[in-house]
Amino acid sequence: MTADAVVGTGLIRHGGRKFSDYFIFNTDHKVIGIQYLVLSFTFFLIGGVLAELIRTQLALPTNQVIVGSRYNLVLTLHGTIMIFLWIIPAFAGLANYVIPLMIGANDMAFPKLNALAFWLLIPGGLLMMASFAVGGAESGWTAYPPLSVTTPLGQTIWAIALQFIGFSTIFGAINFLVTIFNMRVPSMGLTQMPLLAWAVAATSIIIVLGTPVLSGALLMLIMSRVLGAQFFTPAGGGNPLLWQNLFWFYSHPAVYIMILPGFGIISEVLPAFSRKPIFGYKLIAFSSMAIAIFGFLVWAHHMFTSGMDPFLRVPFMITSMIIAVPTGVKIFSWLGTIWGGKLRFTTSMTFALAFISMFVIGGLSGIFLASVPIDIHVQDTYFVVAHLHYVLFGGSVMALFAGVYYWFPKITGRMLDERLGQVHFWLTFLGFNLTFFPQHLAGLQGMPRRVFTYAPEFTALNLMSTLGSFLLAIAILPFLFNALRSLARGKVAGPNPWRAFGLEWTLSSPPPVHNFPTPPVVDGDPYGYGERPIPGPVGTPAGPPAPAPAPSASGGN
Amino acid sequence: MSHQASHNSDGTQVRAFDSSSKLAVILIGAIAAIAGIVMGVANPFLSNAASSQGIMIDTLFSVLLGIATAVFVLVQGFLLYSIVRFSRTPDDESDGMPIRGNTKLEVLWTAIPAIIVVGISIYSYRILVDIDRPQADHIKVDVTGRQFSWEFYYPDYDIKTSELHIPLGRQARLRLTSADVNHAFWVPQMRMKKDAIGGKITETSITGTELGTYPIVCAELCGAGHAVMRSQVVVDSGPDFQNWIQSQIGAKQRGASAAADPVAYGRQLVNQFGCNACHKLADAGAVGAVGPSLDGMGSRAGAAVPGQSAEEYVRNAIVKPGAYIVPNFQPVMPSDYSQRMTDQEVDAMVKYLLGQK
Repeated sequence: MTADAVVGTGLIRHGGRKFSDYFIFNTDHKVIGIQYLVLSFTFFLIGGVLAELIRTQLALPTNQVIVGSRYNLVLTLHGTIMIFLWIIPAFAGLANYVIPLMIGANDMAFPKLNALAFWLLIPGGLLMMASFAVGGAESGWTAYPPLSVTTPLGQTIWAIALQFIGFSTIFGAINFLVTIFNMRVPSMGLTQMPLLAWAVAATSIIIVLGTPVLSGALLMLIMSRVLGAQFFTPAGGGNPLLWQNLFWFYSHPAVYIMILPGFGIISEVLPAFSRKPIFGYKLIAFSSMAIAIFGFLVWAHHMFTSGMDPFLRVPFMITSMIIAVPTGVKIFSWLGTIWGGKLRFTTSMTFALAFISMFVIGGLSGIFLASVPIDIHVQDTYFVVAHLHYVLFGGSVMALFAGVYYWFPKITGRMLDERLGQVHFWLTFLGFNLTFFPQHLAGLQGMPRRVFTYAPEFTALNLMSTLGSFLLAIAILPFLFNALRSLARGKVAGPNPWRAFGLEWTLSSPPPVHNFPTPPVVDGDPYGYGERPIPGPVGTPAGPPAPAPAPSASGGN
Repeated sequence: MSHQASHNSDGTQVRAFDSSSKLAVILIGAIAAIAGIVMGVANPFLSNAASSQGIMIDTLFSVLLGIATAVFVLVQGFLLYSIVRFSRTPDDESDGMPIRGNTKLEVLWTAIPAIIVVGISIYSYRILVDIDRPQADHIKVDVTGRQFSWEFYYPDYDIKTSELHIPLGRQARLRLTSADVNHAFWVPQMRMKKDAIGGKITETSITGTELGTYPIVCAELCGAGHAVMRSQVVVDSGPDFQNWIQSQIGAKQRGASAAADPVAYGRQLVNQFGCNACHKLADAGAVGAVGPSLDGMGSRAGAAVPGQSAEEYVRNAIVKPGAYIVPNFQPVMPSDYSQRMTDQEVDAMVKYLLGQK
């Protein structure tokens, strides 16, 4: 059955022609991309509300907003939702939309598997919310046994929800790998791929190798809880460290699942707004693959204080240190990219520059954590909380917003308002640093993580952090308003509002249902700024660089 | 430094580094170096460590802080300089220099960080070996974590306490385990942390270098009362430590003849079982604030829960702490006192608390 045969019929459709097409089992990668993005953004807001609850409780050590096991429930769901239902699926959504366009493909390799991967998130997400309603997932997103074996019913629902989400990401990753390696237009060689495609390929390799280990571990946890299996229970001959090994074998690489697509986005955004080719293409592409491989050799750095073999900590320290090198290479290459450019500070660009600035802080605190003696002190403290938020918010989320502002015109055909974008950016940037920078100090000075109260000497730092988090909450409002308003009456974008290279910009905005009427021909990587003329829209020969759309000429109303 | 030259589409030659950007590079490098040295020497983020292990860790931390500060300033400096210097004028639609890379630079910025992190690894390893090195005259303490208290057993003296005492300058080798879920023993001022895991013995050592009392914090999420699972380590002078040991041995022996002095025995139990960590009780010198105060228990226990006599109330509060929660407090008291205490000990405790008028 071809895709055309099912258009508009029954429950399986292809293409986003009308509103209801977005609420159905749709096999168009562009529709699925939007489905992912909207769903994950909804979970971002839910996870954000939980974060504000946590920060409200922690504003003062004597607060009684959420305490004890209820506090533990909220922190568990905050972490789980932000990781598994926001960052990972949001990147999957953006990649779903743009990767086939960027490599000249008319869809993903397996459109039905693609839709299935998205729809698995619905039971996953619903079960996750059910576990919150029932209560019991109170052992952190890391769910260390024996605690996670003894917590109430909600923990089982939480684990089952994660199984659905895990299968979703595995299916998605298989699809990305096959798409990137088999569906490129024949004229696009590997080294002419956009760097986002390299990043998503590396991410997908990690998912395919790592997520099944998490699925196995979760199954063991479910068996322990439901059937009384003793994998992790010392009294029954089990070993609590088994879970930690299995969990981090997946979950450390998962950190790279959450940042590599961000690296890819930054590598697309910076050249377009610096009007320069990416600096060191091959090294950036190679470093993504190096991270994917090395990412599997560092997991035990989460267990330096856990009583693992003391000597084994040394090789894991060395690998954890070395993985900083390919990451550093990317940072320097991005600095090389903007150096000598003609920088244009669109909101997408400001988020991308902030990404570099903030991610460096997260990377540097990572070096401290990789050093065993320092980790002995700061493991499981607010220093780790600060570190992971600099990486996942300062890194991943900043990159996501850079990508959303960059491709929003392509996806919707409308421009976002730049002034509102700048308000969104500055509130986010200030709120983020006010929230998370003080947490480094609280951790160093003795505040453990996952606590609903703390010693009075940490009050000032926590109050600062809470005020910052309120600023972060406000920051999202101009974005929401901007996105909704632009959907209805934003300036019409045209095919290539940024005058960017890349095949996606040769198509109309939004692109037609079946993308490319004829296979495009690629004559180099998509970073030919200053070297080649920017390709014209599909069907027209490459012409001289078109001028940027003047505000008056672009038909907003 | 690179002198990459290229040609614009109109044929004019462009350079990645003109004289003003060369000056900027030198300036940013100098500021980074100075900032790194200042931060490394000053280390404003940590107050003085109270253990010999902590002092070593802080030295390592200072070195890393210096390096990290230098890298931080370098990256932010180049970023800010680029933002200011290479910002496009509004009507400029031209492209930047089509520079695709520079092998020399790329090799350098791969190799230099690699050398730095390998250096940090080697230095960290040396510190790690020193931290873990056992001393010949160390004292042994077995530490048990349970929801939500710490218990310390001194095998050489056969005494059990809820507060850790160690002699100044002598290494204490701690052997940790857990009676239930995972915990982590952490003394922030001593920079040392180790997980306590059921079915397993983990080891760590602390050597106090400053007389004083320092909080012990649980650092691994262990349930509802994780935030309040605390105790303290007291670093005593040698003679004070011996006196403390003797008083604990004496208290234990007095416990055997409890009937002789029920009040003294009660005070001892309050401290032995860690009640003092969370409750206030002036008679026993307890100043905890996590749970309700025990002062004057005898005069109000009878009216606390309708239908329960004073004695029933106090006994239930010890052996079934979750059954009734005093308003404004959290259900975080360990629920295993009925197993950890003998019937005689519970009886003596109830009698002692009812005597607090």
